[in-house]
Amino acid sequence: MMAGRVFVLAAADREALGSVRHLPGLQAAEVADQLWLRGLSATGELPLPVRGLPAVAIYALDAEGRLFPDGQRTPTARLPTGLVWQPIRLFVPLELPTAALPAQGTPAYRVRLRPSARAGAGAALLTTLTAWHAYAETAPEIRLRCLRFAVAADARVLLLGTPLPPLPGLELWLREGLLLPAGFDFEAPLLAPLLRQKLQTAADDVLLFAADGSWERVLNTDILPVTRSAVRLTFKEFGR
Amino acid sequence: MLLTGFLHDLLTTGCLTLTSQPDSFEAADLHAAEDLLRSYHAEDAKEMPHTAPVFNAPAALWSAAYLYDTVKLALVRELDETLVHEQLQDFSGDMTPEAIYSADLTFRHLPDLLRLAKGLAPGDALVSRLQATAWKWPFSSVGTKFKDAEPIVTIIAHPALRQAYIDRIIRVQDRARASQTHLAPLIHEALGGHAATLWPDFTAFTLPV
Repeated sequence: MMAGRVFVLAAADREALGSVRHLPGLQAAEVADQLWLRGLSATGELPLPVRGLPAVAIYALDAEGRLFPDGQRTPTARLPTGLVWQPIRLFVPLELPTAALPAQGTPAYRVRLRPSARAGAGAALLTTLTAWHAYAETAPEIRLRCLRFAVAADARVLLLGTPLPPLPGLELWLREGLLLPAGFDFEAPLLAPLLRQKLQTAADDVLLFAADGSWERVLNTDILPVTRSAVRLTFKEFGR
Repeated sequence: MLLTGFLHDLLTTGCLTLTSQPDSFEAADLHAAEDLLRSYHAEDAKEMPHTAPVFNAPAALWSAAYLYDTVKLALVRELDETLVHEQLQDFSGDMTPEAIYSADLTFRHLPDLLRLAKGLAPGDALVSRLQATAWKWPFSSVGTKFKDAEPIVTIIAHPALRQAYIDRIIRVQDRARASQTHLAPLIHEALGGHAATLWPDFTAFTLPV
């Protein structure tokens, strides 16, 4: 009278037991680089997951602990002594898988500008401090007081207002509150409000885009009303 | 320090306090007033287009004292009218760009004072005297109307005064001066192609009939 069937697996195939840990009554033990599995009925068809195990040997086990190779009547071995049987669920505990993607993965989008089919008025001008100073020295007051200006460390000058002075430089227009080179629009126009929301730290800060899609933020506090003395003192500070 | 105190109040707060008796200024007061005006000139010159004319102390002090006396005569009505002619003497120096700009440091308040004086006593001797002075100093009297054309040769010949004069005409939209044939082209040049925005009716009243 057989007590049941026993599977023998290589120790390296421990993870394969995961496919049968849901089956009731199974027990497993490890000894000498072998895994032993019992709790399988002596007769009848084995469950499909069990049949899929990479077994190195399958035995029928009698009540005296003798092992019979599958389908044979002569035992060839005995069940090793000293096996510590554990329920299969304890023998193969669950582990959380490692996440395949970071939880806060941020998709990157490169802002692109393209030539626009529309025409519009300029709202700002990017010019040089030298040109701006030369103009402000002699320009009519009324052409100055309608403007505000900010100077970058590399002596570029951003002029805001209308009418803009007749100076060489890059004219800019406003699109959704963002300054783009005149004649350019966003490749994806619907992104403009989103960009403004994302990049603008304060409502009155100015975001200045270049034709290559790069951008820089100009704080409103750095943009000054134009007076002749302000331009002259700025020019002097730059040591020009 | 009557004149110095007057100038300090005028240039900082705009609130003036005067005594009711005629004043004569001490030498130390005039010296301190000159220093004050010189500093103010240096600051003001930073806002002038081109290069501002240099400081002319006699003109600056004369106009400051003139303004002081005018304010007193306008407010203290019991002072004799003959005093108007005695105290408000013309500038004895040459009308150079330096004198015009230095006098303007205080004379730029002349139009306001003239309006105030007219309100107190229209047809008064003081008003007539002020109008005559304002006519002689057109750089400082933009916005004030005169029967005869103002003497502006010296102003127009100097780049800084010319530009500043045009700026003032545009700022107060002085139609009478902007309509003058020798000034209209300069105004037009300053407005450029933006006259319709910067001075909407400029073209309308300067168009030849």
